[in-house]
Amino acid sequence: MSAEIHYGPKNPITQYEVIGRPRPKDGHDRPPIYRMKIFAPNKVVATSRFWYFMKRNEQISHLKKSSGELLSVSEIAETETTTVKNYGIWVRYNSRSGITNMYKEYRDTTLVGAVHQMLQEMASRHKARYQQIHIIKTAEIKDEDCKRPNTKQFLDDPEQPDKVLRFPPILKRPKIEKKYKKRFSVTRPKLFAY
Amino acid sequence: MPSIYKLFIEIGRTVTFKAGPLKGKLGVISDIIDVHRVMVQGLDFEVRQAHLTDLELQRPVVNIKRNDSREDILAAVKSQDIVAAFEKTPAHKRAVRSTRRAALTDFDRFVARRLRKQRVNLIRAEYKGLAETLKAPEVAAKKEAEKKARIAKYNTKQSYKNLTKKILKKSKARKGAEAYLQKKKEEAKAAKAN
Repeated sequence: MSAEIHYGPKNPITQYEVIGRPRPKDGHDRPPIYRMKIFAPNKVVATSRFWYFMKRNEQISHLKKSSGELLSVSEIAETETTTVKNYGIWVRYNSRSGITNMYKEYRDTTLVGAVHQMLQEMASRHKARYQQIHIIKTAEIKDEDCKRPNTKQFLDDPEQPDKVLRFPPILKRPKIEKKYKKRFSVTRPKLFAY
Repeated sequence: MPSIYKLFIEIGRTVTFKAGPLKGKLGVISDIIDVHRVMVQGLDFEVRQAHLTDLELQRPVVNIKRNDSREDILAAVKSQDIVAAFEKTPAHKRAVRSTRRAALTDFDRFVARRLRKQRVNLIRAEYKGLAETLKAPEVAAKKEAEKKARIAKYNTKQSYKNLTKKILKKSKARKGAEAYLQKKKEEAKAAKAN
């Protein structure tokens, strides 16, 4: 078995549209077509996830890779990448003690960026890796519909129109150009700004 | 209590890039994504996402609103004379000087050093000339008169008496010291002879 290609810094997450159907048979030459949007590091993982979800979907009578065929796998490019949006992501993941559903909110310019943030957070807070996470639904959320304080704090508050959103730069990690970066250092880094 | 922070991350704050292809270029924060990332509208580049470690906060703040268009922001920058204000800041002057210095060749640096020495010599000569003017006849005569007046003030019988007393005291002390040294010398001689 070849090594699995994991999601990571070198394989950033992208959104794929995978289309497949049951293989046509005698008497069933026009089977229904199914389309799924999948977040995956590459096409191979995307198709693999497509069959994974198809297999466990009871409504589609357990369509499997052996009995089905792929029609297309294509990347979904995002058009609006220059405005900041709030994204809500509904997630289901397998923890060690069972299945958990979650709703999470992120601010980002792209949906893919928000999903990336979600995967990072799930990995850090819940030890949940890409393979254990099912993204049920994603949506762009209006400012007034945001629930989480982490996103709300960056929005304009309609109740306090005079309030100016501003904060000081607390972290001061020096920006070092690549040629000056070193592997070992004698001194500890100074990370606090003042 | 006054804040220790002078520059804040806020919508309208001008920033420059620390490194990379946009190094030193001026932009305006047009939106805040989260604690670490902001949207930067450039004066000569399109709006883009930037991490706060890549940015240097600058003093001028443009009066704009969130979600203002590129045209609006550029117009505000123009009408509020932001570029002129930025060019007056010491940070900009420092950056200009360092970039100019970095572009010099070895010979250029040598020339700069020679010129700097010449400048110092000029300043020194000018200063010397100023000192000379203080020695001009009229100035000198005035000084002399002041000196005489000062002496005349103390040129009384009583002051003479005091002065002679002082001198006598000093001479007595000197005589005593001389006698002591002589004694020591003789002792040393005697010790050698023995």
